[in-house]
Amino acid sequence: MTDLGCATWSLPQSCQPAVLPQQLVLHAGVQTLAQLRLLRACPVNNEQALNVGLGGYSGSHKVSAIGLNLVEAFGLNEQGARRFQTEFFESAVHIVKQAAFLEVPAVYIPSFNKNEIVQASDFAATATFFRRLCRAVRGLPVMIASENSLSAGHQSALVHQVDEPNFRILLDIFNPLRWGHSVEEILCSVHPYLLDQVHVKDGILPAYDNVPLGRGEGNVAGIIDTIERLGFCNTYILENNYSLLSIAGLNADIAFVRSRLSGVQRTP
Amino acid sequence: MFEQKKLRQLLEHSTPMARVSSCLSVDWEDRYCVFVNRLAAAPQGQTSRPNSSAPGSGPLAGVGFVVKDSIDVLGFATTNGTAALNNNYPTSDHQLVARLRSMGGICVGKANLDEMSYGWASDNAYYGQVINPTFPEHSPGGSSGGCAAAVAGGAACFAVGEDTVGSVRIPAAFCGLSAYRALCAQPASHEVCPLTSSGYDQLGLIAPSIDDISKLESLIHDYEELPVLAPGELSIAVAANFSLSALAPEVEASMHDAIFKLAGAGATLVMHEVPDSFGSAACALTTIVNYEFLPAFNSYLESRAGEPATLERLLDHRHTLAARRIRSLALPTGRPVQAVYERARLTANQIKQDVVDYFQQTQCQVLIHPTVAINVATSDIHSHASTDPLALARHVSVATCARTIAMNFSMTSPKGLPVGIEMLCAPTIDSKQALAICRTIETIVKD
Repeated sequence: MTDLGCATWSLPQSCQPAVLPQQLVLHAGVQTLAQLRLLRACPVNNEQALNVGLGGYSGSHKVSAIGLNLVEAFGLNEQGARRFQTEFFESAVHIVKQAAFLEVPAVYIPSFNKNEIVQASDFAATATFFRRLCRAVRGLPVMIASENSLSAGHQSALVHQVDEPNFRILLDIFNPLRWGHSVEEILCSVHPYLLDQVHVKDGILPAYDNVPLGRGEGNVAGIIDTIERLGFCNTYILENNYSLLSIAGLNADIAFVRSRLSGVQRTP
Repeated sequence: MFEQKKLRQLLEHSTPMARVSSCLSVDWEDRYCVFVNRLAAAPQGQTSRPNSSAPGSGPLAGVGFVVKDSIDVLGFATTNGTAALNNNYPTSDHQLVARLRSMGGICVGKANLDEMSYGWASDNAYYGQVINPTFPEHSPGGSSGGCAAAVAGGAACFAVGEDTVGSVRIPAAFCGLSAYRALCAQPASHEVCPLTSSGYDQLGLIAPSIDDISKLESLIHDYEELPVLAPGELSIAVAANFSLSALAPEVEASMHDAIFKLAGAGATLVMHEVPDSFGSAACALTTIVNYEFLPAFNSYLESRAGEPATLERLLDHRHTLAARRIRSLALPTGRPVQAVYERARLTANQIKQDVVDYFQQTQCQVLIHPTVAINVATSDIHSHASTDPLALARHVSVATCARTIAMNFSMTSPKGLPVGIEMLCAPTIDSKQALAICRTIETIVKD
């Protein structure tokens, strides 16, 4: 059974966890330094406090990944502040341990905005960071993933550079188009190293806004069909901007993905 | 240092006579510069003062309290912390003071404050620098610093202060106490020296705990207190961009501790960011104070016979730091221009609406945040450049702009510094409910 879910930062700010359908799986985000520090201060096994740190979502829903999104405002590459890098690394290790306690199977770090991998030195710094993190939490039942703007070739190179069994790439089915990459090519060459959870959104380039699934240039239906044929994905996480598209838009997107899943047979 | 007197304990476990005896026998050496004026101490060996009026009856019989010297108490000059008003004798008590006295409470003195309430350090050129009895290396806060020091040092069971930009909440937080900024109709300007003319000044209470304040409020307003809540009935908002951001490490650690204790007890905590307008509250409020102070104070002076007719005349030949600050910020030469003031009023009104919307979205009873995001060492008081007034006022100003009930209690940080935890109450809850909710939160966090 494939799970369907949503990224919490995609939801309208006024949307409280309790109003979401119970069966939705969630990606919880660490959006601010304050939130990171709250989690860092929280004992690994304090379930109620962890729930607060994760925005209250882990108390009511299954959280399938924690995204350390605040890094987009700071950066881990060479230009990033060294002091923050140390704090972030230590916090990330702590949060992975908390994820293990909460039975959250993945923690991922996005490489966009200030953390984007633009040049070779960024690539090297990012790979080094992931290698250190994967080694520091080796043995825990939590995958460490990178969500980034790299091409298929560079994604593969990153996987090989990190070279740790608990490292994965988190695929977003629309983001690669924004950087001129082919999603199909990434799927084809990187899928053994892709996380079993995929971000789903749609849009019309070059605008950055989202549109309901199936109404943009993302070929969402075709990509989902391909993913299903490859059979690596257990969870689709909707990541359209539902502050603009509303909760009704979320429900429409859920229906869209469900309709694709019901019509596609996985490769045995 | 004298022991703090827990009001509820005192009322429930001592006789009125014993309270009177305890209240009047304290030959309290004013080593903390608490008082501007006070009742004379009893001669050694005597438990009551000669000619002192007999202890009245009533639920507060024999309970000593202090009043900030900007509020009228019959028998004391209302100096507002300036020698220029040494002869400003009121003809009646402020209505709250009258109520407390009618219940048997004894006003033991008028408490020191920043001159004309214009500051947060309680460093008064005429009456001395108030010392924080609980954390002597830390600022006592202001402007009601004498009130907090009196309660923290054991000179009184509680204090009546006035709060515009945190003047009750900040000193309570810094002196290890609790404070309550009530939500009353605009106080009569002729009974309180004002800072503003549009209702941002509110009276407040300082006591060792919110539990004490709750008891006191129930007596003042003659109602039965609501019981404390079960932790599961608490719904508390935490805003990462307000409650937890840009805090001094000690403050941050205490906030984390409070949140973990509340979550561990079973309270519902909702992480929900506040609108950007909250960040403008301190700037808007200080602008409003700087603009309104002149007309508000002139109107006050007009109502007092025998006092100089204008603030300008009052400050003539006064060369204290506060007088200079008032001249540069609130008198016509430095006062904000009307357009800036009007923008500040718009911002304050926007914050009020944003607070309503915030609680509608979160469905929480309170938003929890630090009273003050920074620590202010005693040594910082005199180096004004090192203490950013807007950083001091950043959190407390939101409740003032929103005109909501706010109260706070104090924790001791891991390194032994005072940290105030404030609860900004939802506009939909009344003071009775707010006190029940906040005393429950205080009990959980301080346990």
